[in-house]
Formats: sequence, C-alpha cells, structure tokens
Amino acid sequence: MRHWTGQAGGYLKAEITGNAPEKFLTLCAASDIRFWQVKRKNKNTLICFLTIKRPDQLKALLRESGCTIRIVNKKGFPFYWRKLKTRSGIIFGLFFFIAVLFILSNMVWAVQVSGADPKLEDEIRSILVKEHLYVGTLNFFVPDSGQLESRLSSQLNTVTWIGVSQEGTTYKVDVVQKKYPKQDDKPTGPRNLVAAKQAIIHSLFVETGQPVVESNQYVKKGQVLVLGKIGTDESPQFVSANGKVIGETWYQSQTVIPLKSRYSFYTGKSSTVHRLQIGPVSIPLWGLSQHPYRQFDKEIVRKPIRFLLWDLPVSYVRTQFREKNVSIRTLTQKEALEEAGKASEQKLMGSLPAESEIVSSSVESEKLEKGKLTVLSREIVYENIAQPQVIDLSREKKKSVSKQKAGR
Amino acid sequence: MKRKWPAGFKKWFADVSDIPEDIISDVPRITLIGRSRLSVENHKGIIAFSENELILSTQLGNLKVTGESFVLGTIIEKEIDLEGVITGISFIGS
Repeated sequence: MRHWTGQAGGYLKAEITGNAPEKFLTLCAASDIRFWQVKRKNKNTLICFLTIKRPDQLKALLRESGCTIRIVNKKGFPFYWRKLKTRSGIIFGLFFFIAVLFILSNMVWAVQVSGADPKLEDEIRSILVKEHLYVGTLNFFVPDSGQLESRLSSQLNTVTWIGVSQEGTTYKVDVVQKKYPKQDDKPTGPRNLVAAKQAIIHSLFVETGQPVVESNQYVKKGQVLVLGKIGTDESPQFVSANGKVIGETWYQSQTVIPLKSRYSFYTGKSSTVHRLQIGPVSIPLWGLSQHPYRQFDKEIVRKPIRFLLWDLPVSYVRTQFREKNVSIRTLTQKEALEEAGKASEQKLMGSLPAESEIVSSSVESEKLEKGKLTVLSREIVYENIAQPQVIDLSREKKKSVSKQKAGR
Repeated sequence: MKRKWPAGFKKWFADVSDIPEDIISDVPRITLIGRSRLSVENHKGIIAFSENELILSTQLGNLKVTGESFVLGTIIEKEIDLEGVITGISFIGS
C-alpha cells in the first residue's frame, strides 16, 4: 500500500524490539499513530512504517509497553528539508540560479533597427549606446521609449519619424527615412521653359533650346523663356529646352518679434531618486526625495521588473529632478529689428529653391505695439524661375501644316 | 456517557430491525477477500503477531488467524488489515 499523504508529513521505517511489540502497536493505534507494512523480523522484533507527529508521545508509549525503537530510515519532505539545510551549497546554488535568471530576464538581449540604411543605423546605434541602450545592459538603466524617441529625432535630421518600442527583452527602433527624389536622368521629351513667377530677367544660361527673352526684360508668369523648337519654320525640330534663367523677384514679409521673451535653461544640476514600487507601496532605495531646487523639470522612468516571461507587480521607478533657471531677455528696438531681419531672411530662404540668393532687403515699416515689434520688410532675390512645359508635338505639327497652307 | 445496553437486548434489536449486528453491538466484522486479504473491524487490540499467526482480541474472545508470510497493512484504532496467505480462522476461548 502506498501512502503519499504520509510523504508530506514525513514518515519513519522503524524496528520495534521488546517482549511484546504487539502491545506497542495496540497502544499506538489507540492514540492515533498510523502504521502500515508491519512485518515480523524475529521473536522480539517488528519492522513497520509509521507516521510521527509528536515524538514525546511516542516515547511515553514505548515506556508503557517496554519496547525500544530503532529508526532504520527517514522519509518525507520534512526530513529532506532538514538534510538540505545542512548542505548550504545546494541552497546557495538555488538562490544564485534564481538571481542569475532574474538578471538575465531584465537584460536587453537585442536592439533591432529597421527601416534605416546602414549609415543611419550605425548613427542610431551610437546614439543609443550613449543613452545606455545596448545589448547586455540592464533594462532599468534604459530611458523611457518616449524619451529615446525625442532624443533620437532631435539628433537625426534625415529622419521623418522614429518609433522606439520594447517587446520583452528586445528593443525595436522603427525608422522612416526622408526620401529625396532621385535625380532624373531620363531623357525628357520636347519642352519649353516658361517663367514660374513674374520677374526681371537677370541672366540666362541656356544649354539647349532657343532663348526668347533678354536680360533686364520683365516677364510675366507663364511667359515662354526658352523655346524647345529650333530650326526654321518650314522644318522645325523639337528639343528638350534646358538651362537656368535667373530672375530678380521681390518678396514682402512681415515679422513679429516680442521685445521681452522668457526662456528657460538647465543649470546642469540634478538629483535622482530611485524607488521600488510594489503595488501601491513605494519604497525609496537611494537618493533624497527632498530636492533643493526652486524651479525644476521632473522626469519619471518606470520599469516593471520581469521574471522570465512575466512582468512582476514590482517596478523600479527613477525620478530625476533637473534644476532650471528661467530668465527674461529684453531687446532694444535696434536689436529687435536686426533679429527680425534675420528671422525673415531665414524664413524666406526656407521657402525658396536651393541656389537662390537674397540680394538686398530693406525695412519698409516698423511698428511697436504692446511690447511687440512688427516689421514689414521687402527682399530682392535672384532665383531660377525656369519651369519646364511640355510641347504637344501633334498640335505643333498641325500648326505648322496650317501655316504652310496659309503661306501658299 | 454511552448507555450500556444488555447484550441480549442488542442481539434481539438487531434481529428485529434488520440492522447488521456489528453496527449495534461491538462484535467484530471479519471480511475475507479470497485467501490473501483479511480485514477485521471492531477488534480490541493485537495480542500476538508473527509471519504465520495473528491473534486479535475481540468482544467474543480471541480470534486466531493462521497462514503464511503475514504482513499487517494499515492499523487504525478499530480496524486492521492483514495481507498474506490465510489458511484458517478460528475463535479461541470466550
């Protein structure tokens, strides 16, 4: 008969010796000690299994029946446990194993960058290393995904969107790179160049085609600058007109500059508090929760502690207070005017095609109102105003045919 | 306090009411399964036990079980299980 229930409490295999071991069994049965597998060894000895709950009770029964007990074997969990206690190596090993597993569960095992070309990927990885995100680092030291995103996007200018997400022990960085249109080397069809906006022609650099305007000529928007039709009227040839037509254009812009502006900057001082949050209870681990700063930004990073596949209800919380100073900048009207000029030029250059040039800018009017300076300025710009316009060949042919007919 | 009824009355009640006698009185109930298993309920203690012999005290006198290679299974206060080859069961004395 198997006694698995006895296993949990622990049981003994024992030899009971005496003149009347049966008496001992009867006494034991009366006081609720369980026996099984009782065998006679010889005249004075019985071998049996028994559970033992109170050793003192057993002693009293032995005395009463005049028997002695010799324990052959101890089995069951309590005995194993006692044996284990004496072997501290096993216990230490077990805890060490759990600790290692714990550390490995909270380690970053991979950083995947997708959507970036090799050069950008390398750049992203080097930024991430500075932010403590690399393979082998502990998750607690890694900043929040949101912070990583903002830091990456502020340092990379060839990226339109960047997303950082954490999946278990893997960090994924998804990048959408800015795409520049490829240089179109395909041969273009017959075309003219027309003016993109009204301007005064400053200079022409024509590679192919027949220029029909001259320098210092005023052109309207859409006016043909370079013809794609060459040759005589009788036998015209059509080419793809190519070249640059630099025109002088005019812009008017309005800029508003406040004379007083508040701005804040970090002093570089910071204090960090590390906490362990278990459910609603927060236990400070390190650092002062009282910070000496009057004005500060607070940055909280919360990292759940993981074990194998699961998030434990325990998280590590790092709160960083960064001191900042707020100061007010006051400009004189002259300084403000200068600032406005720079700002308007910068804004204009942003909207113009590359290789444009601001030749001169002049202030038309300035107005100070409620602490704000409104400046109206006018800029003269040299820019390429040529814009391709496709020639409809069939229509041109018809036109030439009808002209020929009219000529006859 | 358990009321002591005369043994004769108990026996009569058991006969009349059709309730098994071992429930009403303290007489042993002996169950034998084949030749290898024997269980005795309502025993009063073990007097002797060896490989070939088991003597139990009961209300009706000593019960002697003979056989070979006896092993006692579970022993609890009122019940005892015996395993082995059983050759004879008999009551001795009164």
